[in-house]
Amino acid sequence: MTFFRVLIQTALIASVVAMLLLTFVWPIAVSADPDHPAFKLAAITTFGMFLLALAVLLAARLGQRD
Amino acid sequence: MQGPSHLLVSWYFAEAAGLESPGDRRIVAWSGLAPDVDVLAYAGALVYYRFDKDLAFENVWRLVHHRHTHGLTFVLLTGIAAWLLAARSPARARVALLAVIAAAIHNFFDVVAGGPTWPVYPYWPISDLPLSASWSWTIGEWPNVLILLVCLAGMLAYARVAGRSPLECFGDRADAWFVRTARQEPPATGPSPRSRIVRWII
Repeated sequence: MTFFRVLIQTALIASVVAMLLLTFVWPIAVSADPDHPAFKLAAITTFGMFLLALAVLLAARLGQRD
Repeated sequence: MQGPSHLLVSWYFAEAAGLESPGDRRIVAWSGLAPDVDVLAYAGALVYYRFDKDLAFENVWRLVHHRHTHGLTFVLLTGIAAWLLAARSPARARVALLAVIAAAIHNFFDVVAGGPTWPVYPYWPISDLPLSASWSWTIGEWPNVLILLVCLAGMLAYARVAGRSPLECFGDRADAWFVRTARQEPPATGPSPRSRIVRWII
């Protein structure tokens, strides 16, 4: 359970870092065009990973209360 | 992403980060919605243009929305505001950091799910470089609607099981009322509405 929790927390933190990099670093470091295929793939993957990790983490917290 | 979704996701983020105090969670949640404060400019423009929506949209909303409050500068201002608001919290630095993150990821959400016609300006006022994607989902598209519905369903589940909900953003009483409703508990025995009005007048 602890390993699972750490894994999800790591996914959440990684997705937050990725979101910050994609918004504030990518445009000046890589490309200012978000239509770049790599940006699109990274952005949608990160977005999904963040929401999923958040949902799983909160569901685990709720599950522990039962 | 829709405004309520920003608020709800930010509250869930604060909850997932383990903030214990409702006040701290409230600060982080509102920080996540804070970049959309530029809607006040539209409200002001509506009054200024005597409720002519077209004029208010063309002359104000189209120019200001996402420009001044969707960037690093506003993110840092949000962090300072959170730091000041969390003065009494033992987790003050953590609250400020989470508030900064909540405001910053709001920008990312608007790139992915804010629509292609509303760029964010991550480096304003240093640079006017816009960031918008042609593939970005508009507000009314199904992914945004789905996110909002899941957030609302989560609000109900959280209230039932955990005894608190994102409605605590609007105050402890609003949250307590929602939790009682979600758990189908009888109303709390307190002063009647009439006596509350009398007390308010006195």
